[in-house]
Amino acid sequence: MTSYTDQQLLQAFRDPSTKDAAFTDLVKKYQEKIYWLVKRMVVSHEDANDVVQNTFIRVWNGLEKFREDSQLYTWIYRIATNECLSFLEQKKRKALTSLSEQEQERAEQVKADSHFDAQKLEWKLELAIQQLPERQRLVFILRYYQEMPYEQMSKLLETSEGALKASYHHAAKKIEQYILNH
Amino acid sequence: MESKEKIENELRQLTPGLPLQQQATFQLPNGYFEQLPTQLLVAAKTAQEKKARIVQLQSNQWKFLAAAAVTMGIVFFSYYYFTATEGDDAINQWAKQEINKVPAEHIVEYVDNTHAVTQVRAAGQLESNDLALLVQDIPQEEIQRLLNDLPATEMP
Repeated sequence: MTSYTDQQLLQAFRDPSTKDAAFTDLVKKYQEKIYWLVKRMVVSHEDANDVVQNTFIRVWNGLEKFREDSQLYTWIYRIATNECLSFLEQKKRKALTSLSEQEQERAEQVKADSHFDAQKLEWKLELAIQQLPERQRLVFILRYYQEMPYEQMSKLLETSEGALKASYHHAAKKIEQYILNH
Repeated sequence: MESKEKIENELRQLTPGLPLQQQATFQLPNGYFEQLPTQLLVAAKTAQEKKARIVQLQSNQWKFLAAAAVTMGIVFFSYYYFTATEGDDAINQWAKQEINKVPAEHIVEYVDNTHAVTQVRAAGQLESNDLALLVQDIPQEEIQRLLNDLPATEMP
């Protein structure tokens, strides 16, 4: 079912008799990509589940009016990144701890995962990501894990490709440094 | 998506010490991605129903508020209208009764004199001697009779 094109899913969603099935197929198509993006941003599974849910509720509410002047894929990613950033912003406002303490909290949550292995490079990488500022973390995740072209990322984050490349390079250097030191 | 090779080359050039495209396997609840589409469909529909209920409630509240405002307007206007009319009627009734007691020629005379005084006042030239000039042609007993005839009753 996930082999449907975005165009086919949109048409099916606009037909009341196939709306639910189209939405289910759309979720199946994007859920994993969106979940892992959100999960690496917010770390906790419960928080990630909430953000993913809010993202797809907004997709459901807005899909009928989706104007198709951007790709569906970009539109869904934009909703997910906005939801992520506002969630983190709210959390920051409510938190009584400093930013470095919050970084530490996220690192502890990564370490609390039952599969965590401090000796493995991929887990060191996951810890290193949590040291990055939010925007830089987002750019790194989109490029490194989601393999998103700069052109698409530029449309998604409304930032120039040059600025995104610089941000990614900067993040990669920081991560390399973190791994060398740990 | 951009080719994996391109992204790896970029990373290799940029940070030779960084692992290439390695992903940690996080713990996930059993069957999470199998259940998520149904869970999200239910959540989206519930959220939509809630939103619709709120909108409906809000539109009913507006109707109620509009009806309440119109009712209050009618009540206020009616109260004002009826109480104002009652007061005016009482005053008019009293005035008619009092005027009927005064002889017609006295009223005419009074109006004529008042009119003369008003005219002089309006011109802004009334001086102490002018009043004496205005009443000098009226006999003293006429003035006394007018004063005696005017009732000194109070308003109700």
